[in-house]
Amino acid sequence: MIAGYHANMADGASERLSRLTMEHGLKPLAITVCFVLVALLWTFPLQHVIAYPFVFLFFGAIMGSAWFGGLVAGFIAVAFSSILIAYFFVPPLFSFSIAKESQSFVAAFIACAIAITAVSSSRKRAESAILQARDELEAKVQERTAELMRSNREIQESERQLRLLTEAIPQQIWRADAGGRIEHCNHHLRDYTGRKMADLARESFFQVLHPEDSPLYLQGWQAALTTGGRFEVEARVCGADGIYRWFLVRSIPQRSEDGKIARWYGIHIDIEEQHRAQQNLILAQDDLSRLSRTMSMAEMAASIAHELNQPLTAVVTHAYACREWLQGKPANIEKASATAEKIVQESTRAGVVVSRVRALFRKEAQVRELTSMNRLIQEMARLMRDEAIRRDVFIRLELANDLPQLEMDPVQIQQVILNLAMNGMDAMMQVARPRELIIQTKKYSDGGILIAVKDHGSGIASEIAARMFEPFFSTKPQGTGMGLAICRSIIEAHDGRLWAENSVRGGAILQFTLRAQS
Amino acid sequence: MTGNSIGALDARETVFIVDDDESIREGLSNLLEAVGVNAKCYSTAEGFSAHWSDAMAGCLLLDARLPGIGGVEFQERLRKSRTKIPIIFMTAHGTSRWYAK
Repeated sequence: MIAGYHANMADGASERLSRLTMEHGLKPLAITVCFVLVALLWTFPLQHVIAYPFVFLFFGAIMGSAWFGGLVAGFIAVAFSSILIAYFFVPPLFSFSIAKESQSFVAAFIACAIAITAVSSSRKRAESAILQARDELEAKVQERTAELMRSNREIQESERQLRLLTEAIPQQIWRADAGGRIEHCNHHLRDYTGRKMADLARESFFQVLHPEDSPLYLQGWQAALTTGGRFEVEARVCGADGIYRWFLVRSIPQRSEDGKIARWYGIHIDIEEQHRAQQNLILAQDDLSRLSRTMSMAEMAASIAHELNQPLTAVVTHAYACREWLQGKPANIEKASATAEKIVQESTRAGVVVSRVRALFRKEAQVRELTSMNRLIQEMARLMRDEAIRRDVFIRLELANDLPQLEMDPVQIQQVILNLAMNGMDAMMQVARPRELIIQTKKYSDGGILIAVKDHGSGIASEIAARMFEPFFSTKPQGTGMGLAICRSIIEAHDGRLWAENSVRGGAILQFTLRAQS
Repeated sequence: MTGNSIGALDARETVFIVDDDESIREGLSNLLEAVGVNAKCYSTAEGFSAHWSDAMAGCLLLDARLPGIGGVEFQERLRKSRTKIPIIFMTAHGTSRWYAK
């Protein structure tokens, strides 16, 4: 093993040695010999043509040797050429000795030859250096290019991964430019809306929003775009099947280094289920409060009935007795007149009960506040929004903008409008869609306001029209029959008028007026 | 209801009226008097009990809702003490549940 190792080492050294010899000894020598011999062979025939000793081909040989073989080869060529010239071409011919008169010629030749060698080899070195530098540069460029391609591939891969992630997340995601134009959205959003990316990128994105929600959405989005704040809104978005679902739309801006907004990232979260649950809860609460209201009303009615029943029963009994006293034979006038007195007393007592009940209701302090009717209606329309959606009714407000503010009890008036609107929506339950309920305000004579609630149900039958404002009159199985009666008494307490008519275009118009205060 | 038809009652027999409302009591006793029937009024069941003896005869006009002992409860007591007197219930709050009782 050891012997082998040494042997290998010796082999390696000798190989290197032979390569060095090849590189710096044999190769320049061979090149020099070739060049100089070629020059010699050509100089023999040419010297007979030219009068002076012709040595210029040797310069070429020296130049070539120095160029291809390097400085060493150049000097060998100089020495070799000088010897050959001295022997063959400088007198005395065929002798290495040099005649005195030719010594300066040979010296000049040698000087020129050395200079050529120096210049040629240095030029060669410079060119090799340039070539080497170029090669190195090229290698470096190639290396860089490869690096760039690799990092490009990596970026592409990570982008692909990110895209896969955005596609895989079970939410609808989009990205918009600084101006809010959608640049990219994942397939969930495309699939849900059934629209192509190109459609969603244009203004028509807003077409997938419910017409009632798009103003609020646009307003919020514009505000976010100008202030650069985060954007969050709940809106209904139309699915490919034409059905709207509630979504929570959230977006945050991404800023570039100079603080300007570069783009927006947004997400649509489906909150239909939560919304429905919340709505059901509100409805249940509403039902509950309505029930408790009805209960307390029923209890109050029972106690009023009992209070009235006692004196009325007494009146009837006394009246029977009075008849008996008068029909007796003979008639007992004295007893009859005492009984009649009792009847008067008991009737008076019944009257007192009635006026006490009325006083009870009048006891509530009257509220009068200067109120903007339009704002009241807008506020109420917002409160009714969910109920309207549930019933598939679109509430349209047609509000005159030149209305005076009037003194009223805003809560009571809101109750009236709510009641009329609910009745209107009830009336349209059996009507085909689209169901539209119009709440209209306009100026009325002497600085008053007319408020009209229009539905397009089947209108009001004449036998109902006559009785619809009576207490306890209802056409609904669950109705108390008090709604419109209370509405009318509220409006009358406001010095206004409430009435109903059928619209020439079908449906009913319930309207009331409120007067300006004198 | 004429004086003659009810006049067939025994003169010793009395209609006992138990009601907490004075106007009801007055009206009924006036009517009974007009048709020639003896009537006695009590505002509570306890008042009637204090006055009652087995020697008496007649019937009881009983308000179903009374302060203190209620009408139905009082009927139960009379049944237990083997007092034999017909009872006519009066009520302003007639409910099917009450009739079932």
